Amino acid sequence: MRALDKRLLRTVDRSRLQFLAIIVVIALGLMALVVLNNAYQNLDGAMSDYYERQSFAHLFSEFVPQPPDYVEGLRDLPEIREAEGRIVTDIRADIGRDIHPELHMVALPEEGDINRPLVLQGHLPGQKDRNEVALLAGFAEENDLQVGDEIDLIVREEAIRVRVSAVVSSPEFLYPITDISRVFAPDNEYYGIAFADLDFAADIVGMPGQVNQATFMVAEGHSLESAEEAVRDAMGGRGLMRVITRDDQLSHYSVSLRTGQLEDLASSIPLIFLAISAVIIYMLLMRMVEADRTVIGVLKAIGYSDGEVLMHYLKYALGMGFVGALLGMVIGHLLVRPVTETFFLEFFDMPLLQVQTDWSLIILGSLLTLVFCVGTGMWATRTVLQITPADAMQPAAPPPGQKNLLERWFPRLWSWLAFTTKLMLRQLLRNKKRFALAVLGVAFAYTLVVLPFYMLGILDAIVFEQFDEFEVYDYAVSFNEPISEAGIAQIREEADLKQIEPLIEYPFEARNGWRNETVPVRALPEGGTLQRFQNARGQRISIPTSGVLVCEYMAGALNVGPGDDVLLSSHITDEHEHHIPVKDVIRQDLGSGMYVSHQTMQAMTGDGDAYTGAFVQSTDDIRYRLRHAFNVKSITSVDQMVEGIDEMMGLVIALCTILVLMGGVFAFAILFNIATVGIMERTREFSSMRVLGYDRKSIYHIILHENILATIFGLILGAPMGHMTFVAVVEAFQRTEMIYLPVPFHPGSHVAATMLVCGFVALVMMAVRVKIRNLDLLEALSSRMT
Amino acid sequence: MSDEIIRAENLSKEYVQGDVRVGALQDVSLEVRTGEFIVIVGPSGSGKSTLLNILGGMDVPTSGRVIYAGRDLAELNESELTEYRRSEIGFVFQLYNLMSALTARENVQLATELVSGALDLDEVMEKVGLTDRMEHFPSQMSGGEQQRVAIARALAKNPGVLLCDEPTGALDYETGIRILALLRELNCDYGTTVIIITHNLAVADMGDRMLRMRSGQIVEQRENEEPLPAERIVW
Ligand SMILES: Nc1ncnc2c1ncn2[C@@H]1O[C@H](COP(=O)(O)OP(=O)(O)O)[C@@H](O)[C@H]1O
Ligand SMILES: [Mg+2]
Repeated sequence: MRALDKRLLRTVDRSRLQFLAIIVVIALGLMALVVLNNAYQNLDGAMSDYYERQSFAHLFSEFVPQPPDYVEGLRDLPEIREAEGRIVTDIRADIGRDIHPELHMVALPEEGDINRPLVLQGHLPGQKDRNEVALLAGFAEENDLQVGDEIDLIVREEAIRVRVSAVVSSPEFLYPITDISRVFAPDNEYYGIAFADLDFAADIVGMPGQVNQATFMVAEGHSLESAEEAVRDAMGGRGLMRVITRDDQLSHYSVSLRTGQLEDLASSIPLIFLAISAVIIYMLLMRMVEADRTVIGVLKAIGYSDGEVLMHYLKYALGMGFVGALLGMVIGHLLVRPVTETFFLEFFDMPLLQVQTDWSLIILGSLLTLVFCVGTGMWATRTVLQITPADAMQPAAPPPGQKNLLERWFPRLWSWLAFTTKLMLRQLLRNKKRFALAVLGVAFAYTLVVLPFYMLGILDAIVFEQFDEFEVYDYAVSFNEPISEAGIAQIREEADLKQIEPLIEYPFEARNGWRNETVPVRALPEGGTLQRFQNARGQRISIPTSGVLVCEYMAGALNVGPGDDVLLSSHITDEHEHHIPVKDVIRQDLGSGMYVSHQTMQAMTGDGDAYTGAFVQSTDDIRYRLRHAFNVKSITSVDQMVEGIDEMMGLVIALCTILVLMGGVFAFAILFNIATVGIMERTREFSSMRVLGYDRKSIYHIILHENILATIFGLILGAPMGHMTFVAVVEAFQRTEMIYLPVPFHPGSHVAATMLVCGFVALVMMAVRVKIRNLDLLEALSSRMT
Repeated sequence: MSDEIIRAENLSKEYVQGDVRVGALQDVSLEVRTGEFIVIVGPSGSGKSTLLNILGGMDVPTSGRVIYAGRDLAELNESELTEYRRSEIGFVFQLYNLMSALTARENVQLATELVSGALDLDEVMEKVGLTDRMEHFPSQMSGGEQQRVAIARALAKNPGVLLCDEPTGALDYETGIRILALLRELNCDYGTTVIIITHNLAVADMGDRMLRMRSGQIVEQRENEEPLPAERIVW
């Protein structure tokens, strides 16, 4: 081995921890690159394959029942390649349990192509044997139902015995939810998806020769939006309730929300890690070259060329890059499968998913490492070229001594300070760039650490605020057929309910000028207490007698505010537009809606008391009490929803722990390196102090105080930085029609992050202490060379 | 002259520091013969190191030129100059300038790896009397031993010229004498041209020729018919 390479290895060995920290950061970056990109590609690929194979619809429309040839006629639209009518309805099923789970029944034409379920076991229900259903795998597994089992469908006061003919998976239900409030935790126990034959379903739900939904494939060369517009125009006036594109379809929305996040993380996280390691490498090499001034001079005097000397220093960067990249990519490849399975297959039903590794990522990773490590290495060591062989003879020029700002402006204060404090402040003011870097390092680590806390905090807010403050009912009930006041009274009596508040809800078309949106409009009783509202300023709002409350997302999308009018129309108003004044803009985290009083709704629809649902407060399980109330389409239990979310929180917490740990590694790598470089830089100064009689402790204290100062500034900077980063993340991902998260300043998260960052700093200081203890300070004085 | 190895013609060197111009060398001319042992003496700041650095291709004069074995150093490009330092010059510094992370042997290797015609490493180590110190690190050696390593490092490349800038400056009397004797021995055995700088006048008697410098100029040149062996120098 060449003598210079031996020197390199020994230097590395001498500062093991420092090099290790950098290697870990590089390794984490490449690990993230491999894991995230592979997971993303696998999921995205599996999703596209699946959609392709099972013809996942581009468009969905819902309308009051129509004959199927009406839907088929829509194929003539140039934007539409294929159209299929189907019946979708919510029923309940008696599967031998006390509580009858809800079944979201999708009835497809036998000859159809669109949204075909993928049979995992058995065969799809057909006309030959009509009394059959296929169950989505999640529900079947959760309830231990197998092909051949018999269950009762409860439809219109009748129990219809059917046989489970298949267990399936469906492109429409990769994530089995049909209501956005379920986005964090689907409920496979009480909510199932069933597929039936169209004619059979038409018979049992009383829609012979009719369909209530249509699915469409868009013709090539047409955009989703233009096709959506065309369908809306063609169906308008024929009882159209809403048209949605697959982007708004809940399963697809949920999956692509995750894959979208994954894609963004996959392209940003590795770069952040590599950039950080580049900064540390830069500092380290820069420092090394400066400290090695004489060495470089000697090497050049002996006859080493610029290139050879440069290469010597580049090898540090290359070596760290190589080891880090290798480590990161190997571990990354091992983690692709478990990560994909834990974080995605747990939620999404992707039978076609194949966990593969994309080997081109290795090339990408190597190139990125090379660019980051070697690039910064070259930049940091460029001063090697300016050092002449004659520098071997010159002791490094002492840094220009100059009174610093503090000294000049507050001489009194300055003279009053202890010597070590002066030394620290002088160093700090002399090397502002490095101090700034240390501050940034702390701020960055803080940001990393505070984000997961924010995430948890926000989830917590959604779950608990939403259900404790805004939706305080225990159950939401919806009916098959609208019922009158008397019907409500009957239910109240039947189930012995303390409190029940009837509601009317229909999808409306809301318009303001050229802007229009489809939005559910819910009518609530004036003075009701089970759903509450808060405006953007945090004030409690109650349902106004006239006028409408609009959620933030819709207010933005329609560009309306208090005092403006919106135009509301619906199939229930016979497409007649009503001018309704906006009373206030309200917070709504999940989903988006508008809220009016019963009176306002009735004025629009012209109907009397025709309630489509109700909120109920009850400590008993009304799902059991109402199991024979046949007009009840569905009952959602808030408790159970919260339970489901709680369960999922475990995983979120695991994810957050990983983030916090990464923040810790970062903090350590940055701060430890900055501190070490600071020691290297001042070895002679410290040695002189030792000779003067200062002990190691006072030297340690100088470094300690510097770090404490950097930490304090870093925390002050980190708090707003973390908050803003989170706001940016939320704005990018979660400000949609489906989820519109508020981002309050969250003091608890900041307290936790502050404590953790201080803990990391303490760890760094412990390592620094060892470093100082092992440093032979006198050696620095006795010989000039390193 | 056929055995001339270095000729310096009218060398001047000016350093500019802010508004101050320092004339470190003023119109210095010098001829060095192959195998000669030259001692340069003079007070601190008189330009000795500057002259040596220019001869060694480590610094360039403000005016004047250096001809080495018939070639003008000013006409060499960067890599030719490196090549010149690599194969023709061996440098010994006052403060040894060894790499603390390398053993004695490795410090010498640092130089031998660079050239193809290097001397045998063990032989050189034996020559400087460090056979039993080969695996020691600089921090484990005395100043004299460290300087021997530095000399071995310069010598092992088998250079045409050994340039030594105050090689005994940091050493005690006895050790200094031994180092000087070693240099003289190498000069005789290998025929290597040696130029050493010292501010110690007594050393002047051991060279084939003595140059005295003051204020950037050579103020005296003296040939020694009978150079004194190092062991007999007293100061
Ligand atoms: N790099 C430099 N920059 C400025 N002045 C220098 C530099 N090197 C040497 N000098 C000046 O040139 C003069 C000669 O220096 P030097 O050759 O080192 O003297 P000597 O080796 O005889 O003690 C001195 O006055 C010194 O201050
Ligand atoms: Mg000198």
